[in-house]
Amino acid sequence: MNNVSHKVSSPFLKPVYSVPGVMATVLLALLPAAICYTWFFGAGFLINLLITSTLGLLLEALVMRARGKPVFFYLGDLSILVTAALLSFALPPGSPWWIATSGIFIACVFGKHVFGGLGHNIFNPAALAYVSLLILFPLQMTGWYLPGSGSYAEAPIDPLSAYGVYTSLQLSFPWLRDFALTPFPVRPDGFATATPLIEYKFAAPSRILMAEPDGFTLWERGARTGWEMLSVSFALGGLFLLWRGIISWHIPFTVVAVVFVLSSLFYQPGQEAIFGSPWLHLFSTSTLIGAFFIATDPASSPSSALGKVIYGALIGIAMYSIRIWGSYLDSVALAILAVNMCSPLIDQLTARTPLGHPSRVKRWLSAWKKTA
Amino acid sequence: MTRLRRSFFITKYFKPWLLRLTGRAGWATTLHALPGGIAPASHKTLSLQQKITRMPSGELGLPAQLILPLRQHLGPDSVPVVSVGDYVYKNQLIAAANGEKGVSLHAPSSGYISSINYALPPINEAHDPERSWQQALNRHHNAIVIDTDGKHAVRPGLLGANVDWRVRSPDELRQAVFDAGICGMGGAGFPTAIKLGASAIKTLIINGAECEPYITADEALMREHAAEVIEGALIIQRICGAQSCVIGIEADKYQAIDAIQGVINQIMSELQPANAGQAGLSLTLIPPIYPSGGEKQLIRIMTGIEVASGKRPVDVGVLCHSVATARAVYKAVSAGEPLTSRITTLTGHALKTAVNVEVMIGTPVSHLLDFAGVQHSQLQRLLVGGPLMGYEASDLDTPVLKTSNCLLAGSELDIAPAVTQSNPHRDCIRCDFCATVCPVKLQPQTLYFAARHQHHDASVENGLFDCIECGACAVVCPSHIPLVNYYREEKAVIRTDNDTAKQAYWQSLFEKHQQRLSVNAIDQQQRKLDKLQHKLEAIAVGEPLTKTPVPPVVAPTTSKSTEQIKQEIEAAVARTRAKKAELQKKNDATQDADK
Repeated sequence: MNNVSHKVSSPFLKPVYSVPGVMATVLLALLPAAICYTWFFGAGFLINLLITSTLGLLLEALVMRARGKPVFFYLGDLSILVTAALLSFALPPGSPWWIATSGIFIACVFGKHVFGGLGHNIFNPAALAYVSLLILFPLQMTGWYLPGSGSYAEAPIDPLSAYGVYTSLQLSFPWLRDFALTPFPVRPDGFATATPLIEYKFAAPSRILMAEPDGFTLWERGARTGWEMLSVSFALGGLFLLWRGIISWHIPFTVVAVVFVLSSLFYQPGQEAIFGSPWLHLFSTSTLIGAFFIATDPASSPSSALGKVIYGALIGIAMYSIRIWGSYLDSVALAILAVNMCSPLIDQLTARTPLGHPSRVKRWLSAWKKTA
Repeated sequence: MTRLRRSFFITKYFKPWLLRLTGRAGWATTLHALPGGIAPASHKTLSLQQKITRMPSGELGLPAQLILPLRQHLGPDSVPVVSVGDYVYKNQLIAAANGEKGVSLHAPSSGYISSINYALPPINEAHDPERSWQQALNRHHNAIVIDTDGKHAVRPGLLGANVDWRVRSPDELRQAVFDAGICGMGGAGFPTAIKLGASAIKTLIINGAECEPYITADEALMREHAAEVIEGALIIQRICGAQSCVIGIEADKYQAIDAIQGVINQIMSELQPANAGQAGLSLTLIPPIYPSGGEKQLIRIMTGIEVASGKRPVDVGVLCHSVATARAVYKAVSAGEPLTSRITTLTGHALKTAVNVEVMIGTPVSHLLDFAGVQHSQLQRLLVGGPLMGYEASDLDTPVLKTSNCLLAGSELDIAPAVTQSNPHRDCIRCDFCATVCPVKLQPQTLYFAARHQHHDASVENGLFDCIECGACAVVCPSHIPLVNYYREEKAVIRTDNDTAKQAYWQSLFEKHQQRLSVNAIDQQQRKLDKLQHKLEAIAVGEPLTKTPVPPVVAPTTSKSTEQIKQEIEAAVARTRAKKAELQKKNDATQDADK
């Protein structure tokens, strides 16, 4: 247990931050994105969120019991809820219930507690769970029910109507379809569309590409509007975290900057189908949730400012490269997992120099002079 | 959740600009930014409502006993010069400084000595015996106790001659400071006279920052005795010969700034216009960030100089004194008055009235608590010093020392609940909040893991001994880890290791080395002896002594007979034998001594 055996000494000032407070702030920052996601992609997100949160708390309690730690003390840090929320954003709304269940199991057990619990994980649990699911269940993980536009009239998943919610429930719990009075209108195996990037990647004329000229329509539920609004709400949440001082600017700024620079460099008008425009890379994909919420996971990212900049740049490069030249499409989670592995090394190489000591450059120079 | 951590940009550029817009005093953007730092709620208005209450006039009477520890400073204990039963007058010397590095101790009031080896209760854990004077009390906690008689009698003629300090020599002034028993009154208690003896001082910084929450002793002092503080600063400037004297005050102490600025303006206007530029007396406002008042931190903010690890500021030509010390110097020099009283803040939400008092050194805290009206039901913890760097008073007899600038009777509004068995802290989530507030640019979370798992090498490598224990990291830690506790414990463990085990190890290596050296020396003599013996044998046989032929051109200048050579060699043999025997004897003696 974390208690101190020796006599308590200064400082005695009341602490200001707390782990539950930090986690609650992150959850608050995710709120606009949650509303936006539900509005555009149906109540399936809420169902996923409910499954992951409930099961997550349960699993966390079980694991803590098994590890012989006080259960409620550790449940109180709310970290599992953040993991559950981030995982729910990554899952396709309308995926069957066992996707969310196995996802939170992987995140909680293999992502977190195998390494020693909160703060000791070397990978981001949500990213790890997402990538595992993508490899285990590729079909379910890439079947997205896209909102609105004319060609999707057969999938009414409007979260505000009872019928839409019922459809979402039927998508998540397939056995509910047996009780349905009307025949179930959606055949999930029909679509294989994740983020719009997929379409660009294979340059296949598809429904999204057809919807693309419709442009950004704020008050209609279109796929493109949905993705862009979602990205904007993630950015808003990220800015809120920056303002509250929960995350530092280094990682999100570098990731966004590197992705922007790379996509601008490779962008050729008329060749959107191959490389995509910078706008598409930033706002029609999961770049922003990755940059603001997943890459900034403190446990799996380096601690010094320089280390964070290097880490962010590596993530940006990996993200863009996997998207364009790799075979996996949703590259954010993969890029973050890959760079998570480097973060202990980055941490060690970029450790700050305390005041009053020669700077790193000076130390290198003197070492070099000695060998020369 | 208040915003405790400050970003560099806001503190350095945005806030001064905003302050100037609103017409308030702001600091200059040309100052150097302190890395890290926190801005906690200051709670300073609590004790600034009233003026300083002097003792023993008015409602604050004399305590029945004054307890004066022999070590209130960094350095050797003072030596008592009185014995039990003696009557002492106010300002009389009762314990003399132990050598150059000591500090003398004077009686704050008249009365009879009732004890000269009163055992103080241990004030705090021995975390860091080198840095903090209070730790040393754990080992040498002897104190002189005076039973006051209430007369407050001063022996006539005890005061020094009232000569203008401007005509006295710096050495004379320094002696006056030494005789007054002044040590740094800001916290560490470093003897002032030693600091003043440093040579090649360019800049004198008078520290009026007082960045810690709750403490207002320096602010009240500057507000009410600005002239004395400035005068003291000028005296210090004369002693150390600094070209410029800068007074650094946090920009949110408006009244103190006004008072000091007024006095400076007055002095400048009195000077001849030709000399005004040379006086080099100025006031600098610094951003109100904790811990900007730390010595090295203040120097970094005001001059940009980074004092190297393990060095003192005087090594880079900067001298730093607190305003309280400056005033004590003024009193010592101008009136010959020794340091027997200081201004202390009585504050905290467990007190009925929070106030600044000028108390005698040695006053038990119970006396002050009675004066301020403590509500014992609300008293959570009684701290001497501020909530960030103070220590817990072990009992109500704990005396006010030369370094005690605050007495904080904390209720649960002020004091965090301690981390205990029933209230454990959470695991580190590596959020880096601690790294962003560290004023020394350490990586507290790395240090925490090293310290917690007692990886001594890793701790030292990560700068454990650069930590100034300001506590900023522990305050912002969302997991509520008592980081400074871990660091202190690790420091103590490493120091103990260095003291005993490592010392023994190095000592043994050194002894072995010495022994090897002596054995080598004996062998060398033996070889010499063998060679000489060989030569003697050769002579006896009649062989030539040198194998190489003597060059024929140069004729041998000295022609020794074989007999002479033989005699010389025998003499050499005798000498070498004697030397060998001597070395052998010496070696045996040291080995015996070792056994």
